[in-house]
Amino acid sequence: MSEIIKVDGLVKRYKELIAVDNFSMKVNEGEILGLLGPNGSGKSTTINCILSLLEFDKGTITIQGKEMTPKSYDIKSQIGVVPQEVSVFEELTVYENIDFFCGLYITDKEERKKRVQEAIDFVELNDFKKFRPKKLSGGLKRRLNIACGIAHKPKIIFFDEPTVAVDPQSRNKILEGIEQLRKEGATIIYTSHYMEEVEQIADRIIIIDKGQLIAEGTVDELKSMIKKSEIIRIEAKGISDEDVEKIRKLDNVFGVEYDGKILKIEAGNGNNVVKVITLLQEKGYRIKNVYSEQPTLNDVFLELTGKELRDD
Amino acid sequence: MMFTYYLRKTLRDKAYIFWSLAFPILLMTCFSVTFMGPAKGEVDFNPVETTMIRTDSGDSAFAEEFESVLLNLADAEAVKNSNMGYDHAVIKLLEVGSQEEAEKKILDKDLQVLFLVNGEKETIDVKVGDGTNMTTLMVARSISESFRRNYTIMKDAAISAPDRIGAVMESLSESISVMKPKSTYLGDNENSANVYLWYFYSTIVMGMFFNVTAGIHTVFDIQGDLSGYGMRTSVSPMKKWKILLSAFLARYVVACAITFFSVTVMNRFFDVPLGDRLPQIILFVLIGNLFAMSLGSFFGLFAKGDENQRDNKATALIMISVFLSGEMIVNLPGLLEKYCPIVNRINPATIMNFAFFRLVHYPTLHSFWMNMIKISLATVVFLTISILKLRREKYAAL
Repeated sequence: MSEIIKVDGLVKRYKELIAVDNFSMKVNEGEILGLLGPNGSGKSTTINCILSLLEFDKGTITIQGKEMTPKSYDIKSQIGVVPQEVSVFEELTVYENIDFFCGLYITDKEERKKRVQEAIDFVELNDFKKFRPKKLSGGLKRRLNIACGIAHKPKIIFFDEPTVAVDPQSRNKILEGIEQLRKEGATIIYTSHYMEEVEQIADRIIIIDKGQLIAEGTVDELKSMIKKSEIIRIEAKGISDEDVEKIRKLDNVFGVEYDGKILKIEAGNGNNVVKVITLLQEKGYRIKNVYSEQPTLNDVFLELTGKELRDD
Repeated sequence: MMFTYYLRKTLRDKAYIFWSLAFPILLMTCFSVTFMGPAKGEVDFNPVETTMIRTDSGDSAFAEEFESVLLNLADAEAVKNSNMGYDHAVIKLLEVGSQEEAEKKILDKDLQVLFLVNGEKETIDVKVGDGTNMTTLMVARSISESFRRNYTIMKDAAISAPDRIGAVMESLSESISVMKPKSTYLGDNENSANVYLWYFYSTIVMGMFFNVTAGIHTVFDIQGDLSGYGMRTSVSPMKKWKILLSAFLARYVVACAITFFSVTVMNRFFDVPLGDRLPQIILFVLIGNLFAMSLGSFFGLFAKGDENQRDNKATALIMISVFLSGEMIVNLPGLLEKYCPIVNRINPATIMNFAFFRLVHYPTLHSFWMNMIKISLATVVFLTISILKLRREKYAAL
């Protein structure tokens, strides 16, 4: 896959605060890149710098091999943006809003009409075409927000937290839609602080905190960066302190807690469940249930930064 | 395409339509019900009780000429024979011994206007009492301003063409006419006459000034650091000036159409006179709305808060300006003229109200043009600053 966006050594300061700190990244054509970080980590600032909306102090940004500037109209014509806030005109209907924003890119009336209808079909707002935004629910408004950003069929689409304050059903619709856009050939940059979403749709993830790149890679690559790879919970009564200590000394076990009913083991890579169960069975303990949890991106973030990713 | 959508967007903005169209018409209806009564018709005003006190020490052509002008205006026959259109004297000249006595008479309401004339310095100070009505104020200001303006011409004429002095005097007398004869006044006395008209003109100006919100909305629509839709337009390949022009023109067209409609309603439905200077009235409406929108653009770019907060702040500012221009208390400009004249000079609503009044009622347009120039200059300043700021395509913060 060829490189479509390249950010190199980006620095953006707000007086004393460094919002983006020597940040570099690449986006490959046709991929969904998840930009993951807590609120205020610099995700939106980075996106706004890439879009040439924000002045920055240092660094270079190229899109399709050309430097991005406010006057890069040829590049801009291939970009679609879905802002974090629902950014539509309250006085215009659903159809008119999409037509207006599509009209900023496509001047041919017939072509625009076709694209607007496709966008309406895509976000499933056909029944609400003549509605004003204030009559739409939060989820439908979000879908309208997306339609306004994608109707002109851009090659590169920036989604800035598109699912904030959206019900689960609408959230799934939005994520399915993004997946569909990728299948149709778009390159997508998706920023969010919802790790499950990013994990679900992104081909590659960049974790950002305090304006710095913390880690990047696929979900598996990111998870393999941390020691802890599994949490095992075993329901078993009467395990002696001596046996708990034995489990603690097993290879790749980083922590053991036992409250008399549940034995919680934090373990690294390796077949830990089998080892623990074998030990307990040999000692004659009756095991009722065994649960195994894989590490999340939050665990990755926690281990890399020492704090929780989820802040809401 | 953009122009049409901005037009639709503006026409569907209920708050905007209410404040700029419905509210002024409702207010005019209230004024009409309150002031019209059964006495609607053409009622003239009584001569203004006036005196002149000289503050110089000796002979002065300036003071003597001014005195002769006052004598002419107090002479019913002279006025009848002039082109002023009245069959009675404009002023009633009273003999008062001293400045102190005259000031006491003003306080006691035995005298309406005191001219303090200094021939050596060639100055005329006008003193009026508290609660002076608009007619009296207009007469007093008109006499002193016209005389000052024409005295220089008269002096030049006296030196260069003494035989033409008579013609100049005649011209001066015409300039001093304070009201056009066809003005409509209402009520039984002079106090209610111009009050009524002033309220109407002021309401038209207020309606125009509500277009500050149209200016604010224009900058919010296109400025990436102010709104999400501004961000969308900034990211698009459409050139910013095209979007700005579409957004501004669409709102300007609606604003002017609304004002023309209101002016027509005022004239046709409420019988408020508009005179016969249609081109100047059109210009007045065009400049007034342009001023309001340019002020709104400036406000939208530099005030703090979100779109609604900026709208509210701008509306509050406009209401203060309109209030000071006499929309609610018609004597307020008179009081301000006495105690703090600078307010009348810089308050845009007062400037516009005076311009409208003078446009309809004054025989000459000098004062109207002066007011229009003031407003136009302010418009140019606000527009230039706003355009310079709006041209920016990258922001320090979003």
